[in-house]
Amino acid sequence: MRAHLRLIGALAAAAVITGCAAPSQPGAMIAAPAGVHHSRESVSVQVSGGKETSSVRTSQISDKDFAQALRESIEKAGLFAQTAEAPRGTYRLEAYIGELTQPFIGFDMTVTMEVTYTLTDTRSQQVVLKKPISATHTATTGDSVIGVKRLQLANEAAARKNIEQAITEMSKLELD
Amino acid sequence: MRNAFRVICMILVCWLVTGCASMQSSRAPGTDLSTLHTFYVQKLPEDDGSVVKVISDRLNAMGYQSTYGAGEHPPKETDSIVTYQDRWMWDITMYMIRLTIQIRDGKSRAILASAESYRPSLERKSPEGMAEEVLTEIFNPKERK
Repeated sequence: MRAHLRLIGALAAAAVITGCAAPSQPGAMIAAPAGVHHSRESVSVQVSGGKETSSVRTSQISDKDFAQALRESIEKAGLFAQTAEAPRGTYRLEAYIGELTQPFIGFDMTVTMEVTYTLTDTRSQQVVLKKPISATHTATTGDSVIGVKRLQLANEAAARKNIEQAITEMSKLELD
Repeated sequence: MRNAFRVICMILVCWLVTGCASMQSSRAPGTDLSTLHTFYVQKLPEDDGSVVKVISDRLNAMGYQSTYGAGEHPPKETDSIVTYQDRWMWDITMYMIRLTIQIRDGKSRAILASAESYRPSLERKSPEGMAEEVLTEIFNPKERK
């Protein structure tokens, strides 16, 4: 009986220390790819398909946070001269988060994020790039022993890798 | 002591089986799903074939033409490729706790629309019911029960 109680106590303690799910943080999703082509034009960024985090469910990535990370990554890499609020901007970048596959439980937590990026020249309304990009990251117990935190870290790294690939693809266009 | 043990067990059981069912869906900007008529459902490697068949059968029942297979590309070109992720839990019996379905462009594989149903133990549905619920949410959200 005492052994049972100890086990249940340990389970309850584990449930408590795992805490509530927190949303993925924009600052942790900022990518910094090297050797990016610099355009003199401006771009507006719009994101859809993201989800808000509920404290009793799993960590998610919201539209607002992903848009902030994408904007700041573009600015940091110098891909465009400036980012603008829609509908302004010579280019319009739409990012649709179509998939964020997450595990329920596990020591190694692998998250796959798929985003379709559509870059449109607003002067001609011509789509200059439409590309689905998928990125995966596995967070281990070495990253965090707390499950919900591990999932959040996996989300953020998958998003960071996704943004990095997107900037690399847009850079290849060598826009003026 | 024995009562305390029972109470703690009951709390743990309640914590495991309760929760609210939820449905979430999204569509890529400017997407018109009414242009899609033919579908290919791509089987997950870990699926024994039952879930992929359930999804494909449901699409056929909705009036579309659907086939399924293990290959990444359909043997014959289709308007759309369908991918999915299913998660199962055990509570007396195994049940599907979450089903996510993505509708992709047949050529570029870009996701056009996605929906996910989450149903904990007390609100469980059969895989057929989950597939119906998710696909109805994607194609006819107003008709969902």
